[in-house]
Formats: sequence, C-alpha cells, structure tokens
Amino acid sequence: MAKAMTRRPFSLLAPLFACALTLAPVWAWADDGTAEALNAALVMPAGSALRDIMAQAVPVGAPKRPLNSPGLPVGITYTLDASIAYPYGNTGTSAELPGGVDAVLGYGINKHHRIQAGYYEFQEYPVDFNSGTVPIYLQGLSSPVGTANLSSLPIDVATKNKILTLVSQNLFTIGGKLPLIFSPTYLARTANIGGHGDIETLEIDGFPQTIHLRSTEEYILPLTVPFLASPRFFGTLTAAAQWNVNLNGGNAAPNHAQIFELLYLEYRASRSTTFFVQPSRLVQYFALDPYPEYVPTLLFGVSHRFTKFTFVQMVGSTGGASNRSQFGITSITCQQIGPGGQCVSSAPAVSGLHASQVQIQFGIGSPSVIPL
Amino acid sequence: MRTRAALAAVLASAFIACSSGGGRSIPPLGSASSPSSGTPVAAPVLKLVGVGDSLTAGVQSNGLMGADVVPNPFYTGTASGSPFPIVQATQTHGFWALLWSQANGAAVNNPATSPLPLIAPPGIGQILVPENASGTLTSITTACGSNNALAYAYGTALETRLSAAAVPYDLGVPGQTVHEALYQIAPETTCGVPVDAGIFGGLANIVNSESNNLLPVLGNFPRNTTQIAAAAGLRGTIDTVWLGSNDVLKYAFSEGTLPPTAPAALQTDMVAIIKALQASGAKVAVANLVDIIHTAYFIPQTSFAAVFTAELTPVLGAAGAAVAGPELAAEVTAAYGLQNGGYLTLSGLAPILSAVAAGQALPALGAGDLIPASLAAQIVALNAAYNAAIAAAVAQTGAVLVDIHTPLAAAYAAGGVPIAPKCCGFGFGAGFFSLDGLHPSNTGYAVMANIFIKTLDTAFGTSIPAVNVSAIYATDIYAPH
Repeated sequence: MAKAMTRRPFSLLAPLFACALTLAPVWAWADDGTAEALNAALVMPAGSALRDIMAQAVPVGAPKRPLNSPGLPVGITYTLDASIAYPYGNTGTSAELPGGVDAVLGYGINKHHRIQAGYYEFQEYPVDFNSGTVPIYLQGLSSPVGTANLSSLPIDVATKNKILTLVSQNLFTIGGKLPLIFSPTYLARTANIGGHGDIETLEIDGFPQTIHLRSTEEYILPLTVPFLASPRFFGTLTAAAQWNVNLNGGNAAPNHAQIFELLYLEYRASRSTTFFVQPSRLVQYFALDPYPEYVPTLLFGVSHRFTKFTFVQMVGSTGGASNRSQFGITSITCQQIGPGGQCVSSAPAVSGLHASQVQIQFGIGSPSVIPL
Repeated sequence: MRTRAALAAVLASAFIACSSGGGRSIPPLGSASSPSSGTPVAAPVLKLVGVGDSLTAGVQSNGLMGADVVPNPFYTGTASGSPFPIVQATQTHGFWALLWSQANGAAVNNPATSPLPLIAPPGIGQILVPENASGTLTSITTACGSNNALAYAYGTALETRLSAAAVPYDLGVPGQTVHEALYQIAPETTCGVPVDAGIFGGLANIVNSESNNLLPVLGNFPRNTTQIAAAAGLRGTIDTVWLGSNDVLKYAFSEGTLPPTAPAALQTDMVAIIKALQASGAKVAVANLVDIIHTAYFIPQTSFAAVFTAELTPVLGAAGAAVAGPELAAEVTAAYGLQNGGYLTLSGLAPILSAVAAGQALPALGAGDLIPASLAAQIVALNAAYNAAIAAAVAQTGAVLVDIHTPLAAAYAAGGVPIAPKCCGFGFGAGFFSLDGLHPSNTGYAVMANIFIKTLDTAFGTSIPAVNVSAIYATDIYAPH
C-alpha cells in the first residue's frame, strides 16, 4: 500500500501535460533507405552486367570489350554524386532534409568476378512523428496519465542514412544461355537523426532502452536473374537471404534468415534517358523491434545523361512496414519527474516506419551504379 | 487508543514524501537478476521470498524502519508527554517477518542475518509518533532528510540500511503497483517535488513512496533491476506475492482522476509475475486484497458523529462533546457535500480539527481528503474487480490463493477481530491499524501472518506454527489495552 498520501488536486489536463513534457530532439527511422542502397549496391551493378550481357551494351565508364563475350565489367568503375531530397506525404513538419553524397568504386577482376565498395547517403523524413495525439505514461504505471500533441513537441526526425556496402559479384550462366549474378554482400548502416547521431532512448517491451536506432549490420546473399531484355525494356528479379548480424536493443533475440524480393524494370526512352520502376519487399532490422519489419517499397524515377560521364537522376521512393498496425510514435513514457514537477526524461515507443521522398542526384560516372 | 485525540495538521504534511532521480541504461528486461553485492542470508529451513508492497515490507505509521529509536525524543516520562517511550521499528513487526520467523525459527532483527532489508533509524518515509499526551502526531524526520535523501540514488541507497551486505529475501517495495513490480527500475520522482508544480507535481505525490523505497530494498541487485527480476534471482522455495492495494489507493488518492489500472491489465501483469517466479523454481502463493475503504484511513460519513465526539471529548469533556460532535458531523457533511456512502480521510480530518480548535471556518480540502459516495462506489468496485483478476491469474497459473479478503471482510462486518476486550476494531486507534490508518498494527500484521501460514501449510504441506496473536497484542503499542 502507498504510505504517502496526496493532498493535491490531481487533474489530468492534456495541454498541461504537453507543456510539461520535454523531449530530446529526437529519433527517426525510415523505411526505404535500404531499398535504395540495395538497389545501388546489388541490383544496379547486377542489372548493369546483365543488361550488358543481354543487350551487348557497354556501361558508361566500363572498359570496352568485344561483343559476344558477355561478362562483368573488367577494371575500375566509379561513381560520385551529390544529392538533394524533399519529403512528401504528411510528415507534419516543414523540416527540410539534409544533402547527401554517394561514392562507389568497383573493380572487375575478370568477366566473372567483380568487387565493389559503396558509400551511400539517403535522406528521409518518416511520418507520424510530428502530428497526432499519443498517450503519456509514467514508467511503472500501466494506465496512461494524459496525452501529448506531437505537433507541439520539438521532434526532429530528419534522417540521413549512411550505408556502406561491400559486394562480391559473381556471374554464372545456366545452360550457357541464362546469366545470373550471385552477389554476397556485407551491409552496414548508421544514420544522423535530427542533426546528431542515432543513439536514442526508447520504451521497448515496457522498459526504456538506449540503443543505436538505425545501426545494423547484415549479410545478404542475393541472386539476380533477368526476365526481360529488349531494345527498349529491361528487367531483373532479385531474391536474397538476409541475416541481421549485429543484435541489439529489442532486436537482441536470435533471428532467422529472412528473404527479400525485388523486381526492377526500366524503359529506355532514348540513348540518354531511362525511366525505371522498382517494387520490392524489404526486410528491415531496427533495434527497437523484436522482429523484422517487412516493408513493401516502391522506387521510380528517371535518369538522364548529359555527357558520357555526367548525369542527373530523380528518384521517388515510398514504403512502410506492412506488419505493424501503426506508424511513428505510439506513446511517450515519462521516466522521471524532476524537482520542478516537470517530466525531466522521457522515452517514446515507436511502431512501424513509413516515409516518402524525392531525391535528385547530380554525378559523374555511371548512373547505373548509384542509387536510383 | 491514546492517539485518538487531535490529529494535527502535521499528519497531512507527514504524508507528503520526497523523491530524487536515477540514471538509465539498458535494463534487465525482466529476466532473473542475481545480487551484485552482498550475500543472501542463510535460510535454514524454508527459503521464503516476499514480493509485494508496503504490507510485505512491513510499513507502519507512514514509514519503514528496522530498529527501535530509544528513547522517543518526544517521550518525557510525564503525563503530558508522548505516551510512546520508543519509536518502534516497523519491519520486524510485519506479517512477512512473522512468517519467516515462524517458518525458520529465527529472529529477524539481527542486521547481519535478517531476511529483511532493515532500514536504519529514523527510517524511510516519515514515521508518525505522538508528540504529547493528547496524541498530536509528528515525525522524527523530514521529508527529504537523512535516509530520505540517500534513498533515491543507487550509489547511496544502501547507506540507509543497517547492513548493506545482507541481501534480503523480503523484497516488498512500499508504494508499488502490480505493474511497477514488473517494470519499475528506478525512482520515478526526485526528492522534494513541490505539490503545486503542475500535473506531474500532483502525479509525483502519487508515486513518491515507491520512488523513495525502491533502491534501499533492491540496492544489492544490479542497477535497473525490477522487484520481480530480483525475486526470481533469489530462487526461493515459496514466494509470497501480495500486490494490488496501491492500484486501488493511487486511484483513490487522485480523487479518481488518475486512470485506474484496468483489471484485465492487472491480471496480465499478475500472470507474468507468477510465471516469472515459478520459472525460478518457486511455489507461489498470491494474496488477494482487503477492502481498502474499510481501513481506518477512510472515515465513513455514518461514523462522523462518533468520530468527532471522540475527538472533541478531551477538549470539551464527554457532555460537551456529546453535543458538539454530532453538530460538527452535520456541518462537515453539509459543507463538503458528503452523503451517506461518502468518506472523509485522515488527511482531511486533520485540517478540520485544526480549524475547529482555532475557531476558524472549515477549510478547503484537496484530493485525497474527501471521497464522495460516487467515488467510494468506484473504489469498492475496483477493489472487487482486482480481487477477481487476482483469482483468475492464480487459477490460470496453478498458484495458490491466500484469501485475506474473506476473513477480514467478515471481521469488518463483525466490528473487528476479537483479540481482547478492547481490541481490535478497524477504526482509527481501535487496534488493527497503526497511526497512518492504512498499515496494520503489530496485532493486525499477526492476524494476517496467520492467514498466510494456514494457507501455506494447507497448500504446500509445510508445518509452520501459527503466530501467538495474543502475545503480540500484549506488547503492541498501537493497540488499546
């Protein structure tokens, strides 16, 4: 039984809660940054090689090789670009996204084996972090003690994902006719959120946990096969086994291999302009989740080459977790009441992630090895 | 009892405790947690582990203390001085301490061997003591003084203990709800939160008791350990669980504005608690709740005339009080809109009596001072719903139910527990409760201990001898003689 009694009127007025609550400028997640990186690191190089094989074309920046000798690009390939991005959808804020850069360096050992290292920055602003009303809890009490209007809180979830990939591409042909690319990959990701790192305190399974919110390491074993090749159209299908190899936070339980699937289709309008679309179902590992998020994602856009070595590319992307009932912040738990009677530390609970954005890239090298 | 007379305003302020903060890192996620410092005391016969709140901890008179303060600083040995020669330890008189003593044939007041987290004087909280013969209550410490200041930080909390090295088996944390036993890992408030400081200030008063007591009880375990994780780590033979009273009280003290714990949520949490303890290898006995509204802290409107008559008798004499008491009762009933079914609490009684003594008008009262009939009905319903949830959780898990509610409800209906001609009623000063009106007297705890003992002996085949309640009563400073 409580031995301390109160003599104080205790009315729970949501607006006052909102005023009393302080949240660190915070967290963000997103959903389709990995899609772009995977596309850049795996699909496009593989697609590029397959396109070359199927269409006997030669990618920009790749050494010339004889026709009728299909294979991966041999020698050094590169890409360097800078990008700007804009969120769309109901983010509930006018916050702008930071700029980013991508840098990729590949080396083809021979026509069957190639290695590639890539660094990608992908910007996004997930929804349902800056709008709506969520319940407030006090750590330890099971019933909410008030509500908070998220639009009144200083929440900044402008996110710049930073993704490193190391890929080994290997070309095989089945029956001497069907080429396919097997690309064992190591992927590491972290992010800047709201202008700082990705360390955040979240309420996970009833406890506050301080985690690296967007930092993951994964092993991926993708297999890419072409399904369409014509003078105007080209398409590939990629499926991959995927493991989270850096367990932390709510994702600390041993996990099983997951499968992601990705389809890529492009239309070459001219020698310099290509339209493309890429639906996929990604598997995302976040430290806040006890199990992966399955994220149907759609990328689409157009690339245009100004010269042999310069290009501009616009990519629209959108995706959200299909196995979560809510997006963004679902509740806020006050951890401690300070001497002034205010909540001095709090932790949000976050459910699935959803974001949509447009990215415009200006670069040199081959647009086929940079994010769509 | 001697303290029936004027309850000074200090009573109300004495109930307002304090708080302070603690750090956060990755918590144990509910898994069993072994002690990180100290050594569990030996359990020679039966390894009992106590899980609960202030009732399991052994709180009396608004505080937790493991040794007597001798002499009571307000004791003068004169007729006008405090009638209490000592400020009595509380923990060693709790039901769980009696249960352990009876099961293991061992005393519990030796700090080096006690299964209790014995708190050094002047205790944690503000232990009430009569400062004069008329029963005016005061405390021997301040809300944020001595132990109360040390209790909020993991690094200093064990300094409040008589023996920091003895890992306790009684892990009851005063003030905790069922959910808090599962999920509270650090103090929720800081010491000295002003009661007028907005919403969270008001909330702080609802949760400051557990914030003040958590670390002194669990300080031997790794930082951020919950009570349940600590209990599981002790791997008891029989674990007793008595939680839920604070879920009722927090709702009552918030005047019904704090959303109550949903009975279904309480049942879910209770199942999780029982399963966690069973997974540690323990047999689990779970007690249900007494009717909170029947404690001496809540004064029913129908008793106003008798209570005010008794309170005024020392001042006005029997004849005068016989007239003034009912008049004051009628005035209070009308002034605060309390109908039959409503309650005045002890924290509300104190300022009324002070105003009357000063010849002033009846004061404005705050939350926790008045329980309107409608709110009282909700409290009673919530109490019953929680007991149903506890019974369901017990049935769901194969644990054993310790039915405290039935015999005490019957005793309340009968006017008390017949221990002696003058003892023990359920009203303030009538013997069953200590000076805070909520926590039992030595005799009250002894009655509860025997209910536990009888259940354990029946369900688990133990042979724990019953407590000699009459012997306890004979030396009970809270019981009328």
